[in-house]
Amino acid sequence: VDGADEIKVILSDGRGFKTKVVGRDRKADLALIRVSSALKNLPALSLGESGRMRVGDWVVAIGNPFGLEETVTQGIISARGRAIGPGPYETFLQTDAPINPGNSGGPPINISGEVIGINTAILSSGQGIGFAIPSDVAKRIIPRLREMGM
Amino acid sequence: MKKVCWRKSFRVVVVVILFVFISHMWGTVFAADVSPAAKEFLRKMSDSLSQVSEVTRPSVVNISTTTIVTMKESPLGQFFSDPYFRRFFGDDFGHPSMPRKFMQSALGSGVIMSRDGYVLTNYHVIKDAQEIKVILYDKREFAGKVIGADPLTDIAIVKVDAQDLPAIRIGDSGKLKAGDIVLAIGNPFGLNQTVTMGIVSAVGRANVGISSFEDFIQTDAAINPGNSGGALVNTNGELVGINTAIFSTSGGYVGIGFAIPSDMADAVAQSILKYGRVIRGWLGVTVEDLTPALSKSFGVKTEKGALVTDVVKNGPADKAGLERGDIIVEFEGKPVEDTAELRNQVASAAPGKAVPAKVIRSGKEETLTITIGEFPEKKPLKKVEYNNALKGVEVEDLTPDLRESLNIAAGTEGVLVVTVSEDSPAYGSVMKNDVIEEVDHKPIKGVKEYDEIVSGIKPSDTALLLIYRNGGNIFVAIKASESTR
Repeated sequence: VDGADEIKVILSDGRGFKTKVVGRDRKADLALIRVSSALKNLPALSLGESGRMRVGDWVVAIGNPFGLEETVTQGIISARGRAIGPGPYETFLQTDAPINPGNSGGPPINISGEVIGINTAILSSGQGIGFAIPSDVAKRIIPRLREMGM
Repeated sequence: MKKVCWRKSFRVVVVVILFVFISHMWGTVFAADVSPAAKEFLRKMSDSLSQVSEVTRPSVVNISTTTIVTMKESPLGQFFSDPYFRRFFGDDFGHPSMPRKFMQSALGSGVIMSRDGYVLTNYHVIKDAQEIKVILYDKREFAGKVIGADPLTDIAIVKVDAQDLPAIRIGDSGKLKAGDIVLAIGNPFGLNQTVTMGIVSAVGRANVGISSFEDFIQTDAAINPGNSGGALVNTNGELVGINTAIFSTSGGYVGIGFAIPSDMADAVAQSILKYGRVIRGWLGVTVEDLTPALSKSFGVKTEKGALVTDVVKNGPADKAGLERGDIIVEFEGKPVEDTAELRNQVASAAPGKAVPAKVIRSGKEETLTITIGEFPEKKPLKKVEYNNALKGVEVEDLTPDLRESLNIAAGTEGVLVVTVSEDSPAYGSVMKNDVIEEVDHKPIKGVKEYDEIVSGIKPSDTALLLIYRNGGNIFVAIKASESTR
């Protein structure tokens, strides 16, 4: 959402809403956006414990690769605590679930249906190598984003 | 269409996020739950995959190699040949026309096959490496030494000086079927200990054009550069393949990877460990695959089998009475699908063993008994860097085959020149395909003698060679260069 003039969220039922950025953390590549305070009963996903994910655990990734809405791909956790590039939060989860441009921000989900990370990067020279910010990192940052906006 | 227009009208820059996940503190309703049965099944599946990863991962190592390559120009050439740079630092700094040596590093993977430090990998991972570094799962680093290599199957064994290592259990790759779940473990793009999952896409894949003896397992598990030499494991946590190559148009993974089956890799490794080389069976025939047209003209109904196009005189097949035009349809009791399969069957047969072969000759089946010979191995080039006048000259033994193909007169003895590097004092004086018959008046019969004599030449000495070239003999004196003194 960085640099966006306007952010629109389209729900799986087709409804679209303008949104407001509640908070952003550029270093962690995380942003919290809010659809509308009037909206209730949205189907929220719970954040799982990424620290309990093991190499080999099965995951599904849901996102919009190349604008293909609600694409579900599967894979496993390939590695944990992976460091890629500079940045303060260098403990990415690595997965072989196919992730493509447009998947950014979409979640890898464990077999209990909990979000265990936020897909953030891929190694473009190869396929089957994607990285996600662990949900444990997101959990630490979310309250701060809500309250202080950064 | 409706959605697209709507988007445009709002000048939307970022559109996304289907699944809103909001911290539960906001008191929203959670998404519908997964059924207990599904949860249980998925948990078991996930648990199993993670267990397989856990038991196999420690047996996979990261191999990093350093190779010295000679190039005419600096890899930083543009910078060093920049006129500004030259004005300040002079022409001597990285002069572009000087052949120079550069370090090149590469990454690969390997699999620990014994507790005392033998590591299985691909030949192409360690080929020409001056320095091999093996990094274990626990981040310990060891210098690796090549024990043996087999370019024909692309297998090599590297030894590290360590004890009590977690050796992988070797499975039965012959039992793999398309659809079986497999995990690939390796070091893609330097991301060590990466585990990826897929299925066996096909088995017995040959004619891929990667090595001479092919019987690949094809998999859709993500395999990328750096995975070479790493493990492909089955759901029992056993090694079933050595990941070797990918089919790609972009250089990266597209869902088509190839692994050498563990049966083949293990047989090659055991032979290297026992005999220091790979002993393969040999028939002494040239064969080709049958086509519908060929089958018709040879009066056979199927296209299965290998058509004999040539028989080496006095070779094992010749002695057993095999003839040109025979179609080998069965070998050692097993049906022969095509030439690639026959090659693998023959290679794995023990030399000296008498083996039945069923052939179709003039439309009739016959069974011959062939005493398997040994595959005439081309000895790997010995890469010795002499620091004297013959630095950078690579030679090999003169075999009857080479003698014939290069038209070298009978009675000529010596070693054949394979390459002369550009920084060699002999560059320009000694040529490829020269036969070095004498060094300093001492006759040379083979690489062993050449090595003994040449390693005794002092760095500043001039070496006198007697060379056979284009049907005649010539004396050539090689002066040591500055670089060797």
